[in-house]
Amino acid sequence: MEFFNQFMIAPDAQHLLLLRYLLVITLLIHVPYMAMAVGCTSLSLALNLVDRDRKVKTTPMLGRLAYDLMRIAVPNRVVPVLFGMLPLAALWMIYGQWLYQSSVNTMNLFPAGVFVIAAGLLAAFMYKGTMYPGGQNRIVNLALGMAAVGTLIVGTYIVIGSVVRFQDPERWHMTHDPIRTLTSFNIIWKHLFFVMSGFAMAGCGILYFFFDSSRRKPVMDPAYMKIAKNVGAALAMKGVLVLPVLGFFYMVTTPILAMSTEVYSVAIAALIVLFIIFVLLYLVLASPTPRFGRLTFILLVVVFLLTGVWDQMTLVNATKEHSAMLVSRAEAREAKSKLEREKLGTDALKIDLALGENVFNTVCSTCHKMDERVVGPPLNTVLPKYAGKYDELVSYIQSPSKKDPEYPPMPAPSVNLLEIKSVAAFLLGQDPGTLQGGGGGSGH
Amino acid sequence: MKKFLGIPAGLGYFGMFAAIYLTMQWDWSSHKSPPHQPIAFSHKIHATTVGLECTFCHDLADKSTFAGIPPVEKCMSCHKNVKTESPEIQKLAGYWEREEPMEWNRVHRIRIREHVFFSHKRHVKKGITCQQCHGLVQYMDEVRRVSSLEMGWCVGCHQENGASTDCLTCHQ
Repeated sequence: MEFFNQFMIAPDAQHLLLLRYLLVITLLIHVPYMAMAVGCTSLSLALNLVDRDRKVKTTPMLGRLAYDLMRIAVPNRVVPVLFGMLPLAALWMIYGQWLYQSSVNTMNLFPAGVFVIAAGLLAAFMYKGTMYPGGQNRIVNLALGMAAVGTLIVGTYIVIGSVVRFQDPERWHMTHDPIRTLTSFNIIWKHLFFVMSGFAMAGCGILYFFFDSSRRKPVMDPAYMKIAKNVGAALAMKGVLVLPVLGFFYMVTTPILAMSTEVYSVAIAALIVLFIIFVLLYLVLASPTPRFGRLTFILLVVVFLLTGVWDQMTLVNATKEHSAMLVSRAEAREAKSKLEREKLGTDALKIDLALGENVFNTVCSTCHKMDERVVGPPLNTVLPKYAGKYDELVSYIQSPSKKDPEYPPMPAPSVNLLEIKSVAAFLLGQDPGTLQGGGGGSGH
Repeated sequence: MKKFLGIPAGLGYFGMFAAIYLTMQWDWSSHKSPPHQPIAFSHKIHATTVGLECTFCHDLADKSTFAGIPPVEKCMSCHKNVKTESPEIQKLAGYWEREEPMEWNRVHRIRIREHVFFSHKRHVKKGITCQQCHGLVQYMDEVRRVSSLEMGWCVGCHQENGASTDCLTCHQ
């Protein structure tokens, strides 16, 4: 994290608010695609494996479906970069800013996961290249397919694990051993949720990309259409049915301080959308013709949007204090630079004893009296130390420090430089005439 | 119509999960959310804006098993004069005048049935900061528990810092 911090800038309150929106948008661009890529590649490999074991290859249907699935997962060179790699780099930056100067121990694991995912997407692309369109006379490189699925699963596990750890500040500083850090039920459930949502996405992807009426349809023979429709709808259905179970286990294992009432409400909203998708898929399975491709696809993306909002909200909850610290530091920096700007304009200040008296009575007198201990010490015991040291008193009031262990530390008062100079002149009985014009002067 | 029987079955399935999620929501808000306190005391104002040390109020943290909660008298040593117009401080002054102790709600508790002996003094003397266990309390308006205080969490920290993990170190 120390290495990482030097590339980041210290965020302030508006900056952190912007990061929250950016996070949801980036997750919405990245996660549905990535899940679909994992789901399609795994299913394609499974279909090829089933097809290989068949002794009599009566139809090339399964091989063809395996190829068409890879056309959804990695259609060309641009899509994996645009929806896969670029948003991942953006996510790394967003999390790095959000957790600036925290002790979180998985920020360095994240890029390792990104490299593994890049290798996985490349392997998937090459695996697709070993298949012939139409699925005939092909020499499918199954080893390459297995490598693609394996690296994608491992890479997404590392990235998801790193991110899930961000919402567990209790363990941020605990261990730097990556294996121990990534061994957690919370991460396992979240990753299973991701993979299963990927299968649902792959199923809905078949229904949308193959059969949607608004898209240019490839010429399909009815037997292939039937297989593709049934495989797609059944796969999506399994995914949709298992997601509530995984969501339950994921929520149970999420740290309590990442939760809030609203987080559960978002989960229930996602459940309602999943039920609507279930009904649509049920109707698709019951009817002989493929329908609702676009609707189920869009609704599933809505589920991804809700899980993105969920992830953002849990991170906001878990990092509440860390964000408050960043905001408070940003405010301190702002106050300091404001004071420095004021110092530059000191020449124009007209020190005013009446203003000084007024400031003393409204601000200082809460804690200080002349001859009596209130919260702070009686002023007639401390002022003699500043006799003839006007500048020293001004700078002490500007940024007070603890002097006497008997008393609580004095907080920096919310007054401007003119008021501070005026009250110091009033307290020391200075003649304002001797102080003006010379940047405060020494008073002598 | 037999083929549409799946829809009510699905409604039952998703409805069951909705009920489970709602129960979890209720359980969180009534049992696991941070406790509310009798007055809106803010650690952020006292420890960050004013800059008080933790031990200014919790003065037993480095001297005793318990860190201690300051008596109303401690609050009033400043608040007889500071912010007396605030309604929350007037509530505090009410406790002072009635000579009643403030009934703070507990945020951190080690379950007694596990026979755990924990000493603040020992950890503070070793140089463990308050924040390592209690989180960034100086930035909390309302205090919440950041660490679970479960055994695995204690043991993890003991291992990282080379402290004893013998059973009798903590269980007596």
